[in-house]
Amino acid sequence: MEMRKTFKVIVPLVVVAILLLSIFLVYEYLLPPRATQTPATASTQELQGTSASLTIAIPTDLSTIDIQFAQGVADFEVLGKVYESLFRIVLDNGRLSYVPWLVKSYKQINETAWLFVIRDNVYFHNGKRLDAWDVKASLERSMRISPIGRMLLRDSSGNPIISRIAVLNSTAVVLVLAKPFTPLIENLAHLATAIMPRDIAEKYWSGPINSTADVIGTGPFKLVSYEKGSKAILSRFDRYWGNAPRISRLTYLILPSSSARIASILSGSADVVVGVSPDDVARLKSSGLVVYNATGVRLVLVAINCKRVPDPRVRQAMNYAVDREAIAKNLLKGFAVVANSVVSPVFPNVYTFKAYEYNVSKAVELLREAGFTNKTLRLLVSTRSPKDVQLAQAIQQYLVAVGINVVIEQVEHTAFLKRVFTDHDFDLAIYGPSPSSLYYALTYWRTNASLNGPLYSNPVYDRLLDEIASELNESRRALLYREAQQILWSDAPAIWLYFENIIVATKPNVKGLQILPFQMLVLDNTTVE
Amino acid sequence: MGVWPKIAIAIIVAEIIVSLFPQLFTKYSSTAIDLSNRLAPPSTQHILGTDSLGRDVFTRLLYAIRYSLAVAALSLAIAFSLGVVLGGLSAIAGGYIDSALSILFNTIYTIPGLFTAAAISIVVGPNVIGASIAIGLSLAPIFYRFSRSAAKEILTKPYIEAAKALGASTSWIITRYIVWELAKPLLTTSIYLLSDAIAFEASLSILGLGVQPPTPTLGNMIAEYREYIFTAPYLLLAPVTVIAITISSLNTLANKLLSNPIEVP
Amino acid sequence: MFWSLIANGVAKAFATLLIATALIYLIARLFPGDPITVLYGEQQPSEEVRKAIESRLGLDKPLYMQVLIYWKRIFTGDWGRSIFFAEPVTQVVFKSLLNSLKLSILATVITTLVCIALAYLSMARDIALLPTAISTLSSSMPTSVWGVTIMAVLALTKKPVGFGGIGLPLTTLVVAGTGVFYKILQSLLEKAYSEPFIGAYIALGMTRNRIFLKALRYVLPIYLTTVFYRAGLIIAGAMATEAIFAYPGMGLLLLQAFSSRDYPVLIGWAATVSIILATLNMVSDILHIYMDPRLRGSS
Repeated sequence: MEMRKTFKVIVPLVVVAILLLSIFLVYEYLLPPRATQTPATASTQELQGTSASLTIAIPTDLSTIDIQFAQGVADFEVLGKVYESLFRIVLDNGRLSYVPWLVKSYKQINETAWLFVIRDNVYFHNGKRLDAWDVKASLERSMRISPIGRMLLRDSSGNPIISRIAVLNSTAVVLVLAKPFTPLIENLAHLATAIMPRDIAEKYWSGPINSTADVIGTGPFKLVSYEKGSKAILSRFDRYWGNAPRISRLTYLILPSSSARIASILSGSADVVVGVSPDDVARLKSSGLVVYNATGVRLVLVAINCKRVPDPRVRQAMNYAVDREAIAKNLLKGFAVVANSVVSPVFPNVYTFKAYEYNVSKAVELLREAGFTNKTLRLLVSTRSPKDVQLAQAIQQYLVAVGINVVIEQVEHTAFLKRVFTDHDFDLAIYGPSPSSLYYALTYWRTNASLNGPLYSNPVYDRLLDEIASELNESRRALLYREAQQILWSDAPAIWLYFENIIVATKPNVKGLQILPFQMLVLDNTTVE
Repeated sequence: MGVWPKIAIAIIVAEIIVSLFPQLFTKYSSTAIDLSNRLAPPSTQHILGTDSLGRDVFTRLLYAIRYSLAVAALSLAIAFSLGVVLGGLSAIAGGYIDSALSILFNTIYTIPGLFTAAAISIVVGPNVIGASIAIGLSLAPIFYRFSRSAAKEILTKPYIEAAKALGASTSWIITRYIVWELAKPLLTTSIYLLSDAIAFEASLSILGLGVQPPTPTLGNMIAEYREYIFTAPYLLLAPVTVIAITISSLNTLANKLLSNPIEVP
Repeated sequence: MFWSLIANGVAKAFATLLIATALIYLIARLFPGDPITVLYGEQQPSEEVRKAIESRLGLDKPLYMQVLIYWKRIFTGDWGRSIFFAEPVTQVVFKSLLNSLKLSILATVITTLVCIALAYLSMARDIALLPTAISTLSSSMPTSVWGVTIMAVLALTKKPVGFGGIGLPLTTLVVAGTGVFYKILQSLLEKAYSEPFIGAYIALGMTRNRIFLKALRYVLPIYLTTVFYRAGLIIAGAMATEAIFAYPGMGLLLLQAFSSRDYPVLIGWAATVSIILATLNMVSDILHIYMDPRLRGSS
């Protein structure tokens, strides 16, 4: 009986509590957004043309908030608005070049010493002025722990390229190199070498930044908030040293589903959509949206494990077996450029070669010559990109047609990275590197390089890369570059497929958008009318 | 027998025949890619159109029925037998057995299905059997909780006391009384869970588990066609309709079979 | 009596918590890839940096020690900082939990009210077509397809799709859940109507409305068990729905934490979810006993 009494009190209480809570929640969360949000954004847009806000839907989430740990497209897109490097990559008439940015001027003093004079009007988002000590600390941290910075600023045997960074005064530093290194400037343009305040660089000396309060750069936007998996909000930095952007508030919506991204722009929830599928372009155009189609640097390839498939003839045969024209024209509806070079032609010194034309009989012949028959290969594909999974099935059909049996294995993205780049436990794998410079792209294939998942190794190629790094004569360097690319092209450690175009859709009132080939939006002159 | 149960039987029989001999009903291969004929709208050549790799959607649907029904049936059988038997046992035995089983099923309930699938894939690799076990395990707590609480209720009824007094064994009580008494709500739940099981199979592909491409399943067809809802909405309609028809037919049948309440002595 | 039920529930919850956190950690650890893979991606850290990270995350200790350390940390309240979310674990989990609680409570309450209304129409008003049509339509598509469909309809009619907001996931869950729960309620009610006591009420000349209420009261315990079950699942994360609409609930959190192998967050997630689900189970058991007079005597 006592229990019954207890229940008599508790149960009605619980029921009433749940009801009250739900009424409160309905009131609090369902009703107000419609009432308050719409007029607010409308009025700010009408009042000041210069303080427009922009919402951009992106397909992948940030993998980090530490610019020096940035790897994915989303990291560079978002954090690239917050941070800047000493140099900047700009697109000029369809070609990439590297211009001084946080550096006012620079001079090569001798073969191994470079003087950099830093701008004296640059402020960090925390109000501190940029000085030479910040540059020294940032570069040293990048060389020490940044995944890409380590690649960019170390030589083939893993020794740092910069042996010493000497601070002359608050705006001048000298980089003393261990040996001549010609790609220095282009590597200092990479955001993996971005500049952060010295105290933050030292605070996170052996691990990534793990607090949004410490995300402090010199860029035109500062990070306001970041909700993992959902959105990142940036606002204009008022003391920015360069031309102030016209956008005052920037929201990145993370929408991995491509139909959700399309819905976001069709419904008006987003102003810009990145990563539009070629199949959706016609649909978006017919809805009156503007579609940008820009050349990209991402080379989509099928890496071939050279330890398991050591015979170059087999790898060449696979290149002949795949009809990349058909893939680019049909699967990507022409929004791709067939790869006739090992690096995108937007970079200086890239050469195009005689294409591996689609030729089944030649492929079969090469395979027979090499004695590669009745083999089964496992094709790894990351689950992150549905397009890659489709591509895998097309590749499977092409290889089966020349007598190579292929089994597709979908792998979760982190497990994929582990299996391809750490364990090298694969036969074939689909991925697409997005390099920032030609030299960096070529180092992917160096013996024992960490990006060299397929374990390609050619001593001649390695030596050429070393020679390029130390060759000061530009025309001789161009010849060496050509030779290295030729070797890679014919050794074929991968089926070279295509360079993916970057498709971005915007509302018609978004003007002045520029797109870099790394799938990065440049918002310097972007306005919302 | 009314007309609806007859139609339902016809549909189920048709689906079984299709899963056994899909090749009889189509001239295409379910995996033959034709890149020059992608996303073609329905026509006399391809009555449901072609998918993003130019494959005949109708053919893929026929094969998908085979794989999906197998996975769904197997996983529901696992969930049902585990849940109902152990739920009944829990209710009858009580005490430590009840506590241990409760903890076990609460743990399964807490661990998301995706993780259960990941765990099983670590042991048996990513394949159909592993996927079925994972789906079955993660649906089992529904049956467990349901039959445990319902069995407790039944156990208070006088005829169970009578059966016990007459020396009926525990397993007899479970099968004879509890399973029969709960047959209808349990069956209804199972049939509705069928669509969950099919959808769940598709969500496994987030972690690269489950059925690998290019093998079609209703789940991975839905997951793929979802991305074309603005360009080719009819694609999504095909697998969804199959699921809906299957579920309503099974439901009609279940209603028919169980419309006369079983008399308990 | 009441307190012994509570004590029993707490003991079970405690055991579940220990087993579930350990299992989730082990699964995540044994699945290929670790936080260093996520941090370094296609690159590799230097040996020195790798060792530093491993020892900071405790990955250099034997597996059972790692589990013991996490157990200890759960109970000492030191849940640590996320590796990738840039926040303390408690904060990360709490924010997502709040979002999921909102979604779960609202979805459950609204779905239940809709189902009762439909059941009332069919049992007490003899309007069978509408409820059947609604439940058939609702259960004809899996939840994720409903999500996409609702999203597409909104987009095509130029209504704003509130990504990140609660409106759409809630609508999706209610629309997709009504079918199943109506069917369950309906079949339970049909069974109740065949019980002798309803016949007695009819003989007594009770109105149909009152008989419906009596029958509803009779079946509610079993119905609630099922409803609580789904409510729990939504708190633990309506993964597909949350993912489509970028709703930052527990499901999205779990996906994010797993794909970045963020072990502290995973453990925090598992601990929180097992506590909540255990509490919910307990409440549902107690409610069940309270609402079903016959069980009260027996337990």
